[in-house]
Amino acid sequence: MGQRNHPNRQDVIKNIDRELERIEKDQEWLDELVQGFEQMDQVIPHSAPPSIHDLEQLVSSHKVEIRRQNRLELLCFFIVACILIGGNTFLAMTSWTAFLILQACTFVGAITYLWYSRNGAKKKGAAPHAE
Amino acid sequence: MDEQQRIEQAIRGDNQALAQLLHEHYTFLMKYLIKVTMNPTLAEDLVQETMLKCIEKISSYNGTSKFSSWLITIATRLYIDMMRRKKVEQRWQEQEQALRKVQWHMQQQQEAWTDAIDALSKMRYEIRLPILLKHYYGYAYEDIAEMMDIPIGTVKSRIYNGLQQLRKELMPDGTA
Repeated sequence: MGQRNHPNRQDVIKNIDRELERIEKDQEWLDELVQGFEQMDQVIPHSAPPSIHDLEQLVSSHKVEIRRQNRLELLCFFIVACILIGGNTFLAMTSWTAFLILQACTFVGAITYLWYSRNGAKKKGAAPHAE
Repeated sequence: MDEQQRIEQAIRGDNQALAQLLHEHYTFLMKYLIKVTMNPTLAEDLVQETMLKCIEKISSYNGTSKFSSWLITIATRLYIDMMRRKKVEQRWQEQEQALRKVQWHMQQQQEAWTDAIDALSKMRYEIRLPILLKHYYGYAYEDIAEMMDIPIGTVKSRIYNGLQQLRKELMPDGTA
């Protein structure tokens, strides 16, 4: 069986460009489309904007909330860092063998994770139909 | 005080300037989201979320695009994220309900539910969005690709397919 000739991706895009140019020349039809959007603007009900005072309150309260979240995240980061460093130091002081085994396991785990995530990203990016 | 000065003050942390900016762009953003979602309730929720995101990210606004375009980009990405999280069936049911509400409202106002609105409302959001951004707001394909975070070729093919679909619906006799 002969191989089917699939159009090149570049050719497909060029064809779409040509077609889009042709459609864009048909101003009358595009005007109708824009008119449809304008009608939606006019007839679909929407709420009035809140007062500037209310918006100012929203801005200041949200900024306070963001600062609170940032402080919480920083605190969590320090706690986790302290646990990891403290735990590792304690382990190194108690048993060098256990410390080295843990370090080796962590290293192998990190490499495996990176390898799998890299392969996953490659598979996600692959688009054989576009060849 | 002009918009540029207000933006600079807002970036520096002036709450009043930022509130003023949000107030000025509220209706623009709401109208955009109503056309995108065709659901006034959802549009209102998204305006709120967009404003919160804007408050959070204002310090990273670099002025390479207009402030309104920056808001549209935030709103578009929030909407796309929201739609991706929802199940297809749930999306369809909500859309149907919202459309019925809008149709009822238009009947009350004695406004015609035109073929153009009908055809646009039937379209999937992934298709309606780029058509709206290109042919109503006049953005370039590159800008739309950046706003929707998709390749430029995908933007072009979606617009092309959407316009073909619209033509078929609006001109069934093939006069186009």
